[in-house]
Amino acid sequence: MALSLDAAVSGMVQQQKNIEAIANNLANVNTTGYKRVKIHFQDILDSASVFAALTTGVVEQGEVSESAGVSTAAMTRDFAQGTLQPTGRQMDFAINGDGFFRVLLDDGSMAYTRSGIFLLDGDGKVTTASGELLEPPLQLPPRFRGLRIELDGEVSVIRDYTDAELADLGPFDPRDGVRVPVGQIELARFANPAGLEAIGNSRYRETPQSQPPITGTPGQEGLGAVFSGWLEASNVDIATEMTGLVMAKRGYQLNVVAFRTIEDMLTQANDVTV
Amino acid sequence: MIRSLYTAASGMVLGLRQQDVVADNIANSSTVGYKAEQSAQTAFGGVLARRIGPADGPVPGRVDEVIGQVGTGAFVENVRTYLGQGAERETGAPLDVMVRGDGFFVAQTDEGVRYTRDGHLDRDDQQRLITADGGRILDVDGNEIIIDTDRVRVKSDGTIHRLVETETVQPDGSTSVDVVEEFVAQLQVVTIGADDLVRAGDSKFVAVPGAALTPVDYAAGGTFILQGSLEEANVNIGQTATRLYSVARTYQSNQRVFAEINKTLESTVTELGRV
Repeated sequence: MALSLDAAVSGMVQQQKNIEAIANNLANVNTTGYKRVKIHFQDILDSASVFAALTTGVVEQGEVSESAGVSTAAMTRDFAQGTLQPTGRQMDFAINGDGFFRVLLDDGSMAYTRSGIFLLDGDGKVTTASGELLEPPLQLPPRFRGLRIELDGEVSVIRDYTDAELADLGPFDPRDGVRVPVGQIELARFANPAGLEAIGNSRYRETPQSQPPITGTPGQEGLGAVFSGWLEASNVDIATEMTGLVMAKRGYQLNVVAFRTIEDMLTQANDVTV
Repeated sequence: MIRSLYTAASGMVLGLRQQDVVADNIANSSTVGYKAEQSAQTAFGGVLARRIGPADGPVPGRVDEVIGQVGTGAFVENVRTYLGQGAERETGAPLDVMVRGDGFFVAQTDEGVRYTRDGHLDRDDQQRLITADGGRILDVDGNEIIIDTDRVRVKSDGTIHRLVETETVQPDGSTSVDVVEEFVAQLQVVTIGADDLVRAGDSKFVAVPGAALTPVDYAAGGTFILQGSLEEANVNIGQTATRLYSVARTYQSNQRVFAEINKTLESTVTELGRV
């Protein structure tokens, strides 16, 4: 009987976790590169005698076996592609594929992100919005007229002609500048991205589950192309999350009702002499 | 008199026991692949009621005849698993699979072989196909399944294929992508009778020794594997909530009966005893 109260409480606790996960997904619906979290429940075994039977390997037919509530088996991240949104800002990069940008953390370790909002620091080095350097390092010259990022991640700047070069130009040659390659954006992908560990600020860290990263230039197998002037929206679908929220809320309520009803019964048990 | 007290009490114990099962089903109403529990109650063996008294009629004597049977209450005999199909929830994830029809996926856990309807699969650090809590999914030959990519197609007969993309450059300079399916393994799916299954926790079951495990015959129809979907718990919420209340009310009646009998007994003891 206390068992059934425990089951109802476990139901409430897990639905609460579910609601937290959904609330977090909804809060990040506008976070660039955010990947939604899914929660997965499993039942838990109660009966100690059955457990003993299981461990000794002897199980008998018709043995009473029931669960004692519910627990969370896994919270996994869904790395499905988010939609690409145009921003027109050249330093916004979106990946259309499985790749991640590599960024160097302050402690020297490597992190991976899908959030493609990049900035320039004082030295012209490309950093993430939270200030980590892109890896491999990419430095832009102090002055340039234009920036070009190819789908395969090749970055070049367009600089003005020097006076000497201008003198060499013929009268009908275009005068829109000289293209100078300055670097290459590399991406990394993982055999099992669901195994990545989230460390905040849309960054992830590799774990034994995720397997070591496979790096390469954008466009190579599965890495995906880099689109400059676009950002990847979160892959949170509001309709799905809202449905999940309603279900979780109803699930929670039902467990509360079960708890109250059983609790009433236990009160009556204490009142048998009345 | 005392017997009736016990009969009413057995009804109360039964109610609490039934509520264990109801609470469990409610707690697991959003657990993927959960199979509802059903409690089956049965009556305690009754006793014969006899009429004892002076015989009517001309011959003096006593009668002692059986006039019927009196029940002595009920108890939960066992808790069974209802294996009905749960609703299908589409997730779109390539490694989410569900069995439509009869059958269980087979997983090798550290405690032994387990059977599950929970098809929320994942890959571990050794690229093995695993359940959400790490049980290794087995193929038809009983081997672990190794897949190095999430780009897979699971067909209705449980065969898993890797999708291999090859880019070819056409003579006109454009590139085309060909996708080839490469066979990896076939999921082991077996049918087991409800009586041969014992709950093992973690949404899994264990089979009793000597249980008949029949590999699913896809050719016969009726069972197939769906990719990108999960099976919801087969708990009927309306029915379960109704049962929660009906059990509670039955319990209340038993409690009233118990209290009344107790009162009667009290009068018997205190008033009959007063001369």
